[in-house]
Amino acid sequence: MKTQLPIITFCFVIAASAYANDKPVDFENDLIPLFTKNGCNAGACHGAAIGRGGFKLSLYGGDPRSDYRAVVRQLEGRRVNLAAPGQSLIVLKPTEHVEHGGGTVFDYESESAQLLINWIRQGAKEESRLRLTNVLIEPKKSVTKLGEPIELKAVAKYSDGTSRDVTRWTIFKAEDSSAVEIDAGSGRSRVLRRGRHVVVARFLNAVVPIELVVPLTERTADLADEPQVSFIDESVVATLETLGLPVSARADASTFLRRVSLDLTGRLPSPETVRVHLQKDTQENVRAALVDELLRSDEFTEYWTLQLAKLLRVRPRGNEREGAYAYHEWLAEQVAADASYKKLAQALITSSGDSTTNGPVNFYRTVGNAREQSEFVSELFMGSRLRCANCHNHPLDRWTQDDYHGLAAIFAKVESGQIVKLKADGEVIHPRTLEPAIQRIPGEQFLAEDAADGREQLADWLTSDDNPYFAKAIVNRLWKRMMGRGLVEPADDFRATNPSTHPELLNKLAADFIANEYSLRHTLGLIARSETYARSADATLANKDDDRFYSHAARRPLEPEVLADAISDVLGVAEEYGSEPVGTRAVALVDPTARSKTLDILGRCGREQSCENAADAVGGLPRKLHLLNGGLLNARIGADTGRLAQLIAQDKQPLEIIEEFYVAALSRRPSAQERRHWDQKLVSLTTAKARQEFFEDFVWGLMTCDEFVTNH
Amino acid sequence: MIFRGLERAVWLGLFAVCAQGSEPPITDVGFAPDGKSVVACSQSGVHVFDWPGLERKRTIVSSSPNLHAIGFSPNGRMLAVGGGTPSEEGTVEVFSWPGGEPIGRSAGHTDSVMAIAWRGDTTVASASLDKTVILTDAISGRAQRTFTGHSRGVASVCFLKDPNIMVSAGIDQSLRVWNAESGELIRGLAIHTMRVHDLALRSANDGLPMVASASDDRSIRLWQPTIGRMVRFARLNAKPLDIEWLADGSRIAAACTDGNVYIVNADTVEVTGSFEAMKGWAYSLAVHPTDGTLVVGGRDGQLKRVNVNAIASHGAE
Repeated sequence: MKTQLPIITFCFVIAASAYANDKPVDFENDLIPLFTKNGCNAGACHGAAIGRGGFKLSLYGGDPRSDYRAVVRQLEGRRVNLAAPGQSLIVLKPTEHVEHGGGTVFDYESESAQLLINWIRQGAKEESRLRLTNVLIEPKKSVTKLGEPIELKAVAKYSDGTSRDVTRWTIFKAEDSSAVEIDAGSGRSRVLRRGRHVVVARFLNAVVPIELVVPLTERTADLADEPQVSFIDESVVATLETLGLPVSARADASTFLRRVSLDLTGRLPSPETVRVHLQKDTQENVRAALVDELLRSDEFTEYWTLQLAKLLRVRPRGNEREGAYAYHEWLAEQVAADASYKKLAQALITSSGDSTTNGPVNFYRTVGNAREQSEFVSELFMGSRLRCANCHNHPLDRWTQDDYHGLAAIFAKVESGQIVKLKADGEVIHPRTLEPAIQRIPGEQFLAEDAADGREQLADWLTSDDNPYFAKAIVNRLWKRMMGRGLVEPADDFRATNPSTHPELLNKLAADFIANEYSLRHTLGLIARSETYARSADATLANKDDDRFYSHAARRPLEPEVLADAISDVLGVAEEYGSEPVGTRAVALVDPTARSKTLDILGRCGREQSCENAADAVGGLPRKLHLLNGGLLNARIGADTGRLAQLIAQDKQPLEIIEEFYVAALSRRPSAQERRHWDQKLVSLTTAKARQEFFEDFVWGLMTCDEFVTNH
Repeated sequence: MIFRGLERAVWLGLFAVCAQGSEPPITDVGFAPDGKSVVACSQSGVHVFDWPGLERKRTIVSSSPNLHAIGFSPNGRMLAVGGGTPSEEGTVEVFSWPGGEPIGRSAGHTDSVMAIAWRGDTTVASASLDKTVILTDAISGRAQRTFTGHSRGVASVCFLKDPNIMVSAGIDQSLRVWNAESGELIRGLAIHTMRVHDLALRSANDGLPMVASASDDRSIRLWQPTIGRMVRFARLNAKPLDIEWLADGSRIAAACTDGNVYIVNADTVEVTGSFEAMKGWAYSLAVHPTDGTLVVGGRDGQLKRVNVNAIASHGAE
């Protein structure tokens, strides 16, 4: 390696002459993009939390001041050689003229190397002449054809009114690199796979999502005649037309009844309800009336209390059970009264007092410390992962370490013992300054240093009608609960670089939610009454690959609590949960860890962490195996007090028994083909014992089939 | 060696002229044994200044492009200079004093030498970013022993009055106490929460030996390395980069990243005074052997004279 140095010296003499009169090189505006473009400050390299090879840069240049210190000041300035700029370590490493773990990043004669050398030659100054005000990306959205070139362009706007093309210093990264091909130097792109793809453009601290769409089929989908009940349908249909996706048919009456009952009340419709509803469904507005009836029901209150309890991670703390019960009861009161979600959030954030009697106070007893509270609040009420800004400014969002630790500083002033009260000397240490962090409304402003309790200001800001996060975060969760997938996924990861599949719909849902007094019930009803919600889960050949544009309904596994209750309801045998009275429904449990093998098998969420991802997993393979082979069903199907035993005891005809179970489990009668099938099976059974065994097998088969264990 | 010298001359000849901006930072300073001159090193070489005028008198030519440490032998007849070529080689060069003639050189490290300490008049310990400390014969350059154990670069090294006990510290946040004779690690001292930049032995001390350490965690900690005890610590407003005990052993002077020099009472660990020595990082300081003044070196080649008594009263000279 050393033998190359004379050559480098010669090259540099030439290069230095060529660049001798170059314009000033600006550390922040020229070199940080250089580091980013070359991957130096990426998480896999020196942008890692502990740096790499003893050299740490801020992730994607989020903190230029610390980067300057790292490059110029640390280790007594050895990384830049002001006496011999071309011999600087910061040049020799990436050009691999000395050993570099990252290999050759750029050539010594490259523009990157020469920019670095020129900057050092000019004195390695920190001061920046310009401040970046905006980055314009063109195009931000493109509906294109497979393989057709798209020229992506980035223009930086600066504080002095000037602008420059920074395309070659901008990183364009496709979320799915197998779907979009991008030339790193020119920004020229091609979409290789049909669908909607997101490319993230990054220049300095600006990150801009670009949406590239290639319709899923060559055909156009004419959806002009599709019924549209509200702005929900308008928006969804418009997106489907863009993508060329046809829609599935409307779900039939029994499917809709089962779906909406499970979504709004967490339980199967009773056989009586099924029979009555199936007779009425042909009448106008029956489905809308059904939605209204379910929204008014006690079962709705019970089930949506569970949903809020999961969201808020309500659970007993060790042997302290009173708090969780008080909290759960308070939530149930809010749901029953259709209380404003805004007021609910305000009550939680500003709560103080005795946690055993004052339910919302337990909000401050959910997680372990102020930093965790900050993460909890941001994910809950803002749908944002502020936690990423603990160690470094968020690489894909606007959040800084000041935001994270400033929000934590607000919660540090809350003492979260049994009595939740203010703690005047509470503080968190900012890891960068090593000083107590100053209380801060994230992304907005620092609070006065002498502010004793910043929660009121936080609550006001968070729940104001203008807040860009609050309403969207909750309506997205409601949408996800009803439709199986959020408009933004994951639901706690809102950021510019993770755009909504339907931005306009999300905005309208949020605006409608605000206009309707932050009523959860209103928004749930709005979604349930839409034609989008009413679509069949049976995909067509043309829309079977759609998993996010709502051309057909999603098949969703039943939540563990809902499935446990459904099994009990269908079999007519109650499950026991810990010391709770027999007959207690799983959805009504306050303690998510109440002793229950059934819930363990079905994959319940203990609420120590967010349950949102757990809801997707719901038990996995153990659940399937136990349903197929375990005692979960087998031990209860033939119970003396169960539905099967009672129907047999009532001397019901075999086909009547079969229909009873169909109605109870699937909310529908067997089809003609199914009737024929079962009839043929029954003919060969001549003894009571054989029939008993047959029915037990039949019930087992019914309750392990996909139609039963999913909401569809 | 000759080639590297020529090469360096080409570089310096070209770019010392071309450079339009800052001077390289002064990375270490020290008073000559007679107290009449100051030696400072940087990427531009080893320079000798008169005292107290701080006028440059001469330059001692080093073969290494980056210099980080200087140290006079106890008998005052030799000057050792530590440095090297970053990520390639760590060197210790020994010059006659006051003549400045090269009389020894070792290049046993694979990365820059950040600190040196004399062990008697014949041996030099060098602490390097290659994670080792090497004990070297000053004249022959022959390595006598290599101390391995630090998990990251070593930034400082010192000997107790008993030259068989050596203390090192560095980026791995730990201090390590070694038997210099056997090479055995006696103990590790890990309380700092960020990298340690410097160590300083209290020379005037009747009891157990005491060493001060300066760290990015903004603390100066006082240790009794022979028994492995941290005695107390002081917290500063800025990160200390270099520390020295004042002659009577009652106070510690610290050069910091905010350009200030802080004076810390070693018994009460209170900051008794501070003075803005320069704009930007002050990398190094040295205490005059007799007249109660300090010299501080740092960013942009700044070299400043500071009166300790003036600091104590928050005044300026």
